[in-house]
Amino acid sequence: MTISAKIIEDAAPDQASLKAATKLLKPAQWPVRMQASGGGLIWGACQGSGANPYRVAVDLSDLGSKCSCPSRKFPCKHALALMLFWSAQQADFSAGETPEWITDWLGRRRKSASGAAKPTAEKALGKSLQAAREEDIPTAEDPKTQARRQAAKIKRAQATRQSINDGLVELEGWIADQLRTGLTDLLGDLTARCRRIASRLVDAKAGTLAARIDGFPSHILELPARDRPDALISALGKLVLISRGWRNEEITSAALKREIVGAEPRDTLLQAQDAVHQNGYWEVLASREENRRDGLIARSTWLLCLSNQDRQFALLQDFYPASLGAQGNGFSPGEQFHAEVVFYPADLPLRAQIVERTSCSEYVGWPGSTTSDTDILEPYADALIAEPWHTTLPLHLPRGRIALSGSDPWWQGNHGALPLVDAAFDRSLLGAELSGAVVLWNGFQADLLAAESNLGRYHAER
Amino acid sequence: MPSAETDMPLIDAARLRWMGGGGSQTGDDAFFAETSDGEGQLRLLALAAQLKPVCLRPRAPEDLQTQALFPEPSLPLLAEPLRPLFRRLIKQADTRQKSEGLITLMTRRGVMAHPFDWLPPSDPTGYPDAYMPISKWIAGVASPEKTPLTADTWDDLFPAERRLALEQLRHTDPTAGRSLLQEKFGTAPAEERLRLVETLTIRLSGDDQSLLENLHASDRSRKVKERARQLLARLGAVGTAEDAIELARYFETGKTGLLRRKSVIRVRKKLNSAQQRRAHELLQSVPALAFAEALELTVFELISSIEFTEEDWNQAFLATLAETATEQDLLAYWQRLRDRDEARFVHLEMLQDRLSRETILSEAHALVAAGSFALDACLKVVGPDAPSSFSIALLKAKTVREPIAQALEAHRGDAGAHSANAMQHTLRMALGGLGLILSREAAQLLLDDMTAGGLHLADPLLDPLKFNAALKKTAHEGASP
Repeated sequence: MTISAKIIEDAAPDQASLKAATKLLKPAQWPVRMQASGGGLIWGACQGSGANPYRVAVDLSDLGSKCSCPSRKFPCKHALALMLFWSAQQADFSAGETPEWITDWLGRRRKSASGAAKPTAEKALGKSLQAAREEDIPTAEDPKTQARRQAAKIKRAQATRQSINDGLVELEGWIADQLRTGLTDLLGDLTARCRRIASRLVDAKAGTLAARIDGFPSHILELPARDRPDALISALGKLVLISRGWRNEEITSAALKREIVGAEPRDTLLQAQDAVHQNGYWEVLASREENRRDGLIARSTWLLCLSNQDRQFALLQDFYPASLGAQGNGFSPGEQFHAEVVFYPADLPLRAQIVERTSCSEYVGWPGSTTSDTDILEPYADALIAEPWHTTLPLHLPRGRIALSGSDPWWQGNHGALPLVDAAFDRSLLGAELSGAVVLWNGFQADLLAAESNLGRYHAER
Repeated sequence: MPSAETDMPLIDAARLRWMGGGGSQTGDDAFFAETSDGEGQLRLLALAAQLKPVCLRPRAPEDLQTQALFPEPSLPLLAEPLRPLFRRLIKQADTRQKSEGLITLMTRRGVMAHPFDWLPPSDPTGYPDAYMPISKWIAGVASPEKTPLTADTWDDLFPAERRLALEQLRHTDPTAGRSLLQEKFGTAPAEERLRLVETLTIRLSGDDQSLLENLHASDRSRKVKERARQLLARLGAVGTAEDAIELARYFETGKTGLLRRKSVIRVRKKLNSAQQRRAHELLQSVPALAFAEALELTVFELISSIEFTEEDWNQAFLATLAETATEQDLLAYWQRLRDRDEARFVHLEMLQDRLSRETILSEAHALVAAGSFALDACLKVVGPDAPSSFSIALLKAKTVREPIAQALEAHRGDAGAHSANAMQHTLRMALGGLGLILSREAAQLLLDDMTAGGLHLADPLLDPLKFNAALKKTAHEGASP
């Protein structure tokens, strides 16, 4: 089934979308371009500015499309770009089984109503693919303007640093106050008090740190009551460590800065000289979404490196406004691929972005656990010594079983045991022998993400 | 680096202070002696944040217990590529009948669901025997395999396994089965007793009468009493002569036909509503033989001449026949319904426990050919994975073909939103049911028709057919995508 350029022009909502789509026509930005074995459907993954690529599908019968990007235009630039790729070179699209997210979409859409692109004479006016392909010629900036811009940037950075310093002084004062008035009181009024100090930190331009504090109530109150005091002490103690790390400029690292003001953009990361790149096979272990109080949804996708390299895990993190509703995830648990992953510079490289990926035709087994047989939490302890602000980190546990203490589930190995998050516990695991398991350990409970067992792979779906 | 031995007592004391509030550090705290009070607290707090996760390890509770490993599956597990499709289907199976159908279809094709995807419920009745070991595993029962059923081993066996053994015993030695039941019946809870009494339908005879009379007279459960009464009725041992005579009074004999006059028995026309209720009640409880005798007829004469104008009376009579008539009489009444073009799948469903599978399949085939089809009843009667000849006949039947074609047209967007939604529902129900009933070949044929008709192969409406077509025929072949 072919689509002509004219049809794509007509389907585009405006000239700007067409122009944006033509800028996406770089094969390196599209690690996945596929067509359904039975025909009629194409889909792909387009790497945008976030860690998760956008998933795009187009129904060729009526040009109805679905994309996980937040754009309100329909079809969006990613869908238009996919159509342009298809119209130019169908052979670049490999045939494959339709993934589940497309099946779900097809199940929900009705062709007459779901907004399939319906070209009209009116819509077609003023749009031209040829015009969209014409290069914008940037105008050169004079040296004086450039110098002024640079000076302003430095001034802004200094002002921000000072503002954050002031905010952190206030934060420490707030923590000292909580210790004086008693943490039992704080636990009873956690949400409101955290909200107040988080707002002050937002004003002080420490938005990421503010979001961390805003998340305390949900993270601490979901723990069993016996663990809450220690979890609160730990959370407040880490704030002190972050604050001291920032206020002493000599020891402020890029990783610590990320905890306070957020991560650098993708383009900066790709150009960073000190960023570690790692090529290999990767498996998507799980994705977790968290509604934040600032109106964003934080999505964390955990990857396991299957190629026996230094860094076993990578965390892809994205944020999108909750007001946009559920956004499709670019990855499915259990999915494997070959990729070049770049890690944000850190003593403990974990947060990462995918530079390039290709699909993987055969299932690759997990590497052996790197956890010490005698001390399963040693990697966690080492990580906290290197970067003490971490709370939750992945662990690749060795051979073990899921056991019960009353009705509480535990992972149990030869030389240790970890309590599991009750809500995530799947009863079927009780009968399996786990040759390996990956959990997210927060110091109190382990959230089981995936496992390899005598019965095959297991991926927790939450 | 923090040390648990030296720092932990300090942290523990501080923890107490922090939780209660108001206190300050103690004088013997040398580490913080040179700092201001607030500064010392913050430093200690930072240390506390690190100390526990770095130095301490969770202690496993003493009562931590692992369960036995899953029993070795008696069939190969579903192939990995089909597992996502199975998970979608089992999630959508909103009734027990649908999930039983899906699991039975898989078992007939020689595969089992992966335990990570699906576990049988605590009462596995209705699910294939292949899941019995997993049901036992879930219940934590570790009885040795193939324990013979005796009074001594009764409590050692898992309930579903015990029922199965009892059914087998009734087939081979009905007296031994009855004796065992007589001895152990009272120890079972009501729901289980209802299932146990069902085993008496196997080789039911006059020897079972006294046990059934006991149950009818003294069991604590109303449902058990009612089932015992139905079985007694089948033996012709309940329904007093007075009831039969009273029932006969609500019927009248007349003549029909212009040239060939024929006797007919009908419900009297002038019954008030209380009398109608009573007659309907008696029709369900008086055995066919007693009813016929009260009318001074044989059962065969009764079923040859009785006529109902309302379907619920017909079904009440059919239910009584199913419980109390001989197979020959049942078939005669069924034939009569067919001759009068009144036979339906719902009637066949009422008779399915009394007729052989061959008879049921052949009658179902005839019904489809005659244009009668009801998906749910057909699934109950024929079961999943019907023979190919029946499956192909289903696909050719106008009653199956036409609604699907109409719904497909609407789904493609040729109808208004409201109508399209209704038709999508029709299509989902039809393809869901057919995906269970059809043979693999027929499922593939329908799948091809649907995609040729404009549905994407990836459309979830086609999931049941895709799954069926992907399941191979024998256990040796397993299953492939």
